[in-house]
Amino acid sequence: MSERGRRTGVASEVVVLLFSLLVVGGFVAVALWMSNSTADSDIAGLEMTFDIDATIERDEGFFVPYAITNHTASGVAAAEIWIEVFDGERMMETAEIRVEFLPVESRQEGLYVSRFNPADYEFRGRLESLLYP
Amino acid sequence: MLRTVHQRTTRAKSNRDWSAQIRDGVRGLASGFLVGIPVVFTVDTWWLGDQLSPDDSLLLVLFAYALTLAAVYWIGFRRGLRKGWEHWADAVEALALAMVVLLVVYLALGQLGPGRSIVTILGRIAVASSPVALGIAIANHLLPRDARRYEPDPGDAAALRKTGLLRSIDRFWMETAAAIAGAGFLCLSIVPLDDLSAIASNVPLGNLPWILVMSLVVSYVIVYAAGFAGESKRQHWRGALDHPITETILAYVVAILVAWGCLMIFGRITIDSPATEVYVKTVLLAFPASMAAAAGRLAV
Repeated sequence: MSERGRRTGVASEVVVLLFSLLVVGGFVAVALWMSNSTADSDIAGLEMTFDIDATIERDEGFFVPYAITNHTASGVAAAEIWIEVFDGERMMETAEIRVEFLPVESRQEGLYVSRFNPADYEFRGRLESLLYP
Repeated sequence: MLRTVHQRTTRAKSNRDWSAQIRDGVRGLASGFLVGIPVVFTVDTWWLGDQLSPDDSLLLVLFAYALTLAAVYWIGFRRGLRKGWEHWADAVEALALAMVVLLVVYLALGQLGPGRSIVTILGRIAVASSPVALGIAIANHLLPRDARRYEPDPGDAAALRKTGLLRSIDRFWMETAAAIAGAGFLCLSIVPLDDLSAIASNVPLGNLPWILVMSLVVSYVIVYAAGFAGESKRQHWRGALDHPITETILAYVVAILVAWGCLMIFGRITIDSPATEVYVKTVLLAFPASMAAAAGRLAV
């Protein structure tokens, strides 16, 4: 192999290796960063939000989109959550939903069908139990 | 006068220019796809990845690196004698290739979008990186560069049966049969488990055309672009059925038909199933099936 060809060969190997180190190093860096950022998370940090503005009224019912996000430090194998509808301090409606599996920082979206218009009533989510994998 | 001849053993010189680098990489990718994609098409792999913490993912990647290093040392995916730090570098490259492949596959399957956390993505890549990286690291064994597709070893049944040059049409039927066998072998290992139903419900409909295109590209790469012996001969054929593009498309059609047939046999779809369900399941299953079909064609 000529001197020039040998140099090209070495350069190509070095470039490929550097790119590979960048990919693997990037993976390791992100994993370490995520490991630090999730270590201090709330042990029961499931967050439930209702998208009131996107509610659809149909057949005398209100389809209210909701999202449950897992801010805990580990995945959730199962969780039972109560959706409660309040008129002031008086509970008007209640229903249980079950989350089957929710990884860390993942979100599950769904629709809750209520008899009450979320524009006039307060919708709350209450965590009842949580099961870790 | 006697002259002593010192016979030196010859070793394949490593040709390390850019084209060799790319060919070795592509061949490694082809091998990684063959070994790793069936694992990706197991929904338990997804769920396991979803449950991993970032620390678990790091440990798993470390394990994958150790495994890949051992495989690279004994087999490898690069041409020529490798020594010293080159083994360590090759293992890093195999692992990086595996991660890129998995990123592309999960992207095509619509698994890297809104609602997916970075931890989930890390976990899924970590779980599947071992088999894919291992597949890349054993490319020299699984898809050897000097394999002869139409010149079987003397004594092989194929060699004993062969009495003259194969006609183009004979080659076509031989390859079609090999593609059916390869695709069927893989489909029979995926369909009975019914993981496909869970995967199908997770993959957005709009991503299926990308999966179809990827199936075609990977099949082409495995058979024509990975630098196997006989590849140049194949590219010089000029029959209608022998053109690389035509042959790749025909092999994909075979993979689609085999996938559809297996889904029907195991009752995963029926005549009454909605067309969308048939479409989703068939295209999804045809992705790994097309790779197995390509491997089958290489084995002829």
